[in-house]
Order: sequence, then structure tokens, then C-alpha cells
Amino acid sequence: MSKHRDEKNTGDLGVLAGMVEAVRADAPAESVWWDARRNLMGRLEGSREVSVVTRILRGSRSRRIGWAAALGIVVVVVALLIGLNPWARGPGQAFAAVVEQFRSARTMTCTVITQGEGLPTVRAEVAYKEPGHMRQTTIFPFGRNISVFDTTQMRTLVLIPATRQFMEMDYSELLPDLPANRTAISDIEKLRTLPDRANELLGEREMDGRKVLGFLVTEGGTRVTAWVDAETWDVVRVESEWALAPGMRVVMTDFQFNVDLDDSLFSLTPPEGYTRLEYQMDLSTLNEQDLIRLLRSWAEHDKDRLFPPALDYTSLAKGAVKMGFSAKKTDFSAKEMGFLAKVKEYRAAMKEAEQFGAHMTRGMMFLMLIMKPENDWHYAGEGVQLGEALIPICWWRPDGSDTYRVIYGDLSIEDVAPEDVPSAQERQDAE
Amino acid sequence: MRQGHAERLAELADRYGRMVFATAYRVLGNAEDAEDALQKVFLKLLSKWNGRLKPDAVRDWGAFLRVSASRCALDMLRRKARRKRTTDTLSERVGLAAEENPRHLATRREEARLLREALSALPKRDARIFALRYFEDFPYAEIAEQMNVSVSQVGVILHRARKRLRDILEPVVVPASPGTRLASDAGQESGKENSNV
Repeated sequence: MSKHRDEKNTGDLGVLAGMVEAVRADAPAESVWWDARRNLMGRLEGSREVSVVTRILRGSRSRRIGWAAALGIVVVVVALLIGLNPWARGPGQAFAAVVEQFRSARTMTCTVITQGEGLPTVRAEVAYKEPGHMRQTTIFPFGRNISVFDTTQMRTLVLIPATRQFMEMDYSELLPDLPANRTAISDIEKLRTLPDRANELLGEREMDGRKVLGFLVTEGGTRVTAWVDAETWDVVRVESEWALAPGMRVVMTDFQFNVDLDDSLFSLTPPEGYTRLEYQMDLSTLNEQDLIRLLRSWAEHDKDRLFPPALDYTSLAKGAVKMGFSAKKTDFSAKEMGFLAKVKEYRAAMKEAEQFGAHMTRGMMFLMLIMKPENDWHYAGEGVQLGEALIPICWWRPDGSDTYRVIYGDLSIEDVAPEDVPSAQERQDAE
Repeated sequence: MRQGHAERLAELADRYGRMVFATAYRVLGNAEDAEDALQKVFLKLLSKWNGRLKPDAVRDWGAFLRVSASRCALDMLRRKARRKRTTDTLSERVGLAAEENPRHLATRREEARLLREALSALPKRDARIFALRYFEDFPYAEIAEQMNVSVSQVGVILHRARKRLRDILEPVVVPASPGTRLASDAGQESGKENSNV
């Protein structure tokens, strides 16, 4: 076709010309593309990893979105729980050059893969920008959630693109109760607080066609292994395991330092068109009732009405996945169901998912406050059924108190003198 | 997914992803939907490769992906419009919106929205050809090849599409150089002049 004819017809637009021009000029912001690209690449690269989980979770899409919300909220808790666990400084010198890469970075991006037995592999793309801004896009088999953290304000915005909903979380009133050094958020920022010295040199190894050197740092049940390029000392891979999440491993790769990251990526303002999740989490009033709700929520979702085997992040995550599996039992596509009944049940399922996520989050946040050595925290709920009124399932001594708070299997709670809490032998049996 | 396919797809996404995203954005006008379209285009490609289509069967990946993006985005736009559509005609709805907030609507972005909305009311093939020609700058011959029609058919379809769009949009806009103004805005301004006199 001749150029002349093409031009002639473009000229024929008349009144439409300005509008066409407006469409052509309406381009997305650079940061938006960057985000979309990372999500796409994550989805493509992760499609084989998640395929098994996708098959397991195959069911109503709408229902899965609801549980994605719950899982997404739990992911935020992971970031916090793991991030708020402080590092101790240790001896060693060679490792300092590795740590310096994290400390001196103005911005950082990486891929984070969380793995655990009995859990789906969860992939996240993380971007960090000083001071204390982090954006984490978590890719689930059934969608993705975006969490934007701001430690300068101690606030988090959780976005659920599939349903165009958001949740805001504010930890600022929670902070005074936490140690001053607990300000690192999530895995990536915690890398900046690694000690200057590694506990062990792991030697040289071949990884993805390049020679790498390994360093192991251990502290208080936390193990971090960093692999760096043997020639350039660029960080290639970091693997972490935490005491709070036994059996789980986080692998960080694809590190990039000082890349341009637009401030808009870290905005705490929900995008236009997003609506607030019905359930919003108020973290300013955490108390023991939050722990009770967590325990009740868990037991009520368990087919045998049992309490969790342990109260750590791994168990919590497994619980969330388990609830997701049981959710697919509801058949929203049943032809005999009327449309309105379907809508009603769908809404109820969404609400249930949101509440479950909220109960897990608040409960774990409260636990974080009382799991200090001075609170003598104990959990003995494994194998105990909801309603067993005579069995203590957990106990702790609140700050400044002479007595313990004990929660029983019927979720009643009472003050108990130190001599009346379960004996050392009973504790050993329980733990 | 076969490893070779995954790598090839990642390469294509890396090379053409931005273009696919921009094409979808032009049609849809918002980043969230454009991102959905971006993912749909590449995941659909993957499922095709896992089926019968061979990765080397496409001669020009750039053109192929742009057409795919435009098609996918237009389908999304139509679905969205169908959900919104009530008993009102398009021009009635546009006119009402203009009366409610003429100043806001007189922005370039709003002009783009009006055109997108009108485009969703065209027959599928007409909308696709219009978008390829005027949003993506495809020459007639390329459009004909990609859409499997003759070059003269492209001309006829474009003529029909422009006429239909003008019919929908002219009641609410007046031509103004270089952009377009809404009829309600123009009326308001002329009213102002009269009162000053």
C-alpha cells in the first residue's frame, strides 16, 4: 500500500484526529511498566514451579482470590516477623565486603523464593529504596499481592489487584513496645544488618556456571548463607532460615543495586479504583484476645477442631494453605444454585478468608510481643481439641506481672500463680 | 512447560514486552488492565506452544505480538463496556457525563477515554483494524496481512469505522485545533460570551 494512501486516510479522521492524538499520547509511567515487567517475568519464570500447586488448588477462581487475600496478609506477617527478629553482630572480616554491598546500596532489587515442606513455593519480587521503603510483589499460583512498606512511618499498604482491594496497616503505636533495633523490615532490609564477620567459610563452589564463595552466618537459630562471585565479589545468592519459621527457607537471587526506582512504586496511597477491604486491621490495640481469636479461628477450620501443632510462622503458613485447600470444597459453579445465592455465598467466603487472614496476623503480632525470654512463653496446644476446658494450651508472664496468664482448651483465660503453672516435666512433655 | 519454550518466551517478553504493554495501554487506558493484557498475551502464547504452534512459525514477532496485544486489549475493552452498558446509548451516556463535569472532561485524557468507549461499540473486526491503523501506525498492507483481508477491504472498513465513530462522538464534541473540545464545553463558553455582551 502506498504511503500516499495511508496519509490521506489519516487525514480523513476529521473530528477524531484530536482524540486519536490523545490516545497515542496517553502512555503509562516508566515505573508502571517496570512493575508490569517484573510481574510478567516472575509469572513466566515461575510457571513451572507453581504448576503442581495450581493443579491442587484448581477450583473456583473467585474463591481462590478470596484466599489469596488471606495468604497475602499472612505474607505481610512473615515479612514483619522475620524482619523484626534482630541480628547480633559477630566476628570475622572477609564478609564485611559482602555486607557493604547491601549497606551502601541506595536501592536494591531481588527475587525472593520461599520454600517449605508441605507449602507451595512462593515467589516475590522485592524492591527496596532508602530510607526504609520496600515494595514486595508476591506471585501466587492464582494471582499476586503487592505490599508496600514504609518503616519511616511504620505503615504498610496491601494491594490485591485481582479484586482491586486494599488494606492499610499501621504499626506506629506498636513500635514503642518493641526493641529499638527491630526496625528492619523483611528479608531484604535485614541483609543490611548482617554482621561484618561470618561464622564459617563454606569454600568455593560452581553455581549457574560461575565460581562462587560461600559464607555462613548463624545467630540465635537463624542461619544465613551468602554466595558471592569468586572474582568480582558480587552477591549471587543468599539463603536464610529462621528460628521463627522452622523448615522454611528463603532464597534471594538476581540482586541489583542502585537501579532507578520511581518513588511512586513506594506510595502508600491506594491506586485509583481500588476499594478498601471490608476488614481493616487495627494494630494499635493488640491484646490477648487476638491470640484467642487466632487459636479459635484455626481450630474451627481444622476438621478435627485441633489447635495448631506449633505457633510459629511455618505452622501458620501451612494452616493458611490448608484452609485454601478446604475452601475449594464449596462448589460455586453448581447449576442448581441461583445467581443471588451464589453471590451471597461468594461474599461470605471472601469475608471468611479476610477474617482468617486478619486473625492470623493480629494473633502473630501479639505473640511477637510476648515471645521474649522474660515472658517465659510456652505453647502446648498440639493434639488438644477446642473445648477441652481443663487442658492449658499456652501460658506466659506479662511484663511486670507476678502471675501467669493461662489459656485453656475452651479458650478461657485466667491468672495463675507461678507455682501452679504446668511443671517442668509437664512443660517438657508439652514441648 | 518445556525448558526451551520457557527460555524463548522469556526472551520475547524481554524484547517485546514493553511494546505489548504500551499497545494494550493505548486501547485500555489504565495500567492494571494493560498488565492483565500483557500477561494474557504471553501466557496464551505459551499455551499455544505447548499445543501445536511452533515457536519458529512466526516470521515477525514484533508485528504478531502487537496485533495480539491490540486484539486482546480490545476484547477486554468490549467486555468492560458490555458490563457498563445500560439502556442508554453511548452518545447519551457520554453527553450526560459531559454535562456533569465539563471541565474535567475537556482534558486530553478524557478525549482518549471517549474514543476508547466509542471504539468498544464498533464491530470487533472494525475496531481492531482502526486500532492497528491509528493507534499503532500499521500500514494498510500490514493490516491486510495480519487480519487476513484484502488491502481494499482495509480501506472500506476504516472508512466505515471512522464514520461510525464520528456519528457517535460528533454530538458531544466540536472540532478544535489541534485537539477536540466537548460540545457542552463549547456551549458553556459561548454562553459566557453572550452574557458578557
